[in-house]
Amino acid sequence: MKKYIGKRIINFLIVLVGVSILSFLLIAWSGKDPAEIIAHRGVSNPTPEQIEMIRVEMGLDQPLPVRYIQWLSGMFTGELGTSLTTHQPIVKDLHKYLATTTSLVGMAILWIIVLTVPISLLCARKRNRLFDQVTRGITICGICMPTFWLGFLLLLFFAIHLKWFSVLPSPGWRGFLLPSFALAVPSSCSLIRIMRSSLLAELSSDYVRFAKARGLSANRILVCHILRNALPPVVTIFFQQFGFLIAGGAVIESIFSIKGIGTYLVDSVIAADTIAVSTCIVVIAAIFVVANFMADIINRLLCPWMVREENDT
Amino acid sequence: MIKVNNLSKEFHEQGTSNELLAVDHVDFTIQNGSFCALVGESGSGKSTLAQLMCGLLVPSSGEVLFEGKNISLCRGKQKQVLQSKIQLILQDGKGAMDPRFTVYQIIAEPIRNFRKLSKKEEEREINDLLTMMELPEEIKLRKAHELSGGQQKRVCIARALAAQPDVLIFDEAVSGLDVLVRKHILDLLKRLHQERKMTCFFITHDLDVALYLADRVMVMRCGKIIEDRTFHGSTDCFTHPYTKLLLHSIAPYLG
Repeated sequence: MKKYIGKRIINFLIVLVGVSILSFLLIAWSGKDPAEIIAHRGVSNPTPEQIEMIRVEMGLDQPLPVRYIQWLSGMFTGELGTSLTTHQPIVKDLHKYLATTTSLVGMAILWIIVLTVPISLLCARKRNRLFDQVTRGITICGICMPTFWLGFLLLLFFAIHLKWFSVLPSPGWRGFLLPSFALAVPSSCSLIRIMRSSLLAELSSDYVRFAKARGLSANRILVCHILRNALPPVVTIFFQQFGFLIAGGAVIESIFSIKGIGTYLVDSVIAADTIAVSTCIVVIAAIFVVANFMADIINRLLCPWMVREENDT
Repeated sequence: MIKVNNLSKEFHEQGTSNELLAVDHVDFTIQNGSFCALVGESGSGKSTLAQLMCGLLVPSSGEVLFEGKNISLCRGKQKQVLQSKIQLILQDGKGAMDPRFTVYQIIAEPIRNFRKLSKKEEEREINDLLTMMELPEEIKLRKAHELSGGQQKRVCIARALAAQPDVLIFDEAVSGLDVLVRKHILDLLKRLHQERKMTCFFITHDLDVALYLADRVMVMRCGKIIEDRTFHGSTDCFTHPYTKLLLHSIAPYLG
């Protein structure tokens, strides 16, 4: 296990370095000149000298490798400069917006668990019966439905018609209820399908079939045997979804006017804030890789035989 | 006592209107404390019969009576209690065990379900069962995939015994094992039967194994019991041509 964790940490660092180089280069070569954009904000018709002055001030006149190293060392020291959109230190912004997004995603995860586990268990137990058939239809719609549309529908129904919620963001957990639900629905729908299949595969396995013959109760078989062994594929997909929830929350954040990392990233892209954009991308990539790593570790704890099978091959 | 009355099981082939009669009007009675063997080729309906006998499948017609109760008509707790008294041991030991459980947890499960023992008594019982199965104590913390084929089989038998059953049904329980391990397990079963006076129903496709273990041998073919003989050491009692064919096929090995 220690060897495996060491290997994964090395992989993690390689991925992060790769992502940082890629994001930095892509943004640097995107054709947008941040110095020009900033100059246009200050003066309506800036002279080339004024633009050049800003460029020198921002260090954009340096060669790309030097700028990359400066940015990378800034990530470690926390000195990444000031955001062009909020005029606050980028590190402070990241802390603030990441905390908001984490709360949103955290609540979305609660929704996912609350929706996925009982529904998929019921679907597996009532296979091909009315409940399963209806759930199949709903989950397929849920997977296909764009989140922004679901977000608008939720706002229309719960905030405008029923007036249970405010259209504007309300403080505390109440403000996250609708956006987190909208964020959770597509993930829950795909996880319900996966968990149902996984549960059915376990249900047809020998040890489950013959556990019944040995006189074990259906509930005990379900909880002690089937559920735990059906989890590995669900855990893998769940943690992958976690990365998508962080990165893909921008749409939901903008619909519900929540200031999170997604909207911050979009605003930074529009403002050509290269440093803020590259840093956001690296942070999101790090969350994504850590989530996958967590999935692997949990799966290894759930299915220790996977380790042996890997060693055998 | 297990009484099988006019038992049949039909399977419908998916996508067609064909029906497959896996067990065809079978009748027999197994007395308490006897060691019966059921011999037959693959596809003759042996395993279906075993699953019918432990209530895992519902018969198309007929009944299986255990201590006078019809297994397929029992429901809920009553069925669970009845099923705990008839334990089934399969060919695939690894597949029959939860891959996440340790040997200790595997054997402890029926104890916790059917017998309310204290932690200490449970541990003593598990140690006794492991000793009986000639398994080392350190095996307790291993999982199914970390055991050899023979060890897996022994753990399955220990788990079955932990439920204190009245009947043990072995479905091809020694198939796929190498000869030495197989001999060890067969001797173990023989000893177990003599010591515990337990009713054993042994399903195999090897007639020599059946003759080695059982005092009664039934031969099954195409879902029917074609021969049912009490065996006292001489094969002269078998008269059916198919049984004779089976006997001839093992003769070269016996020399």
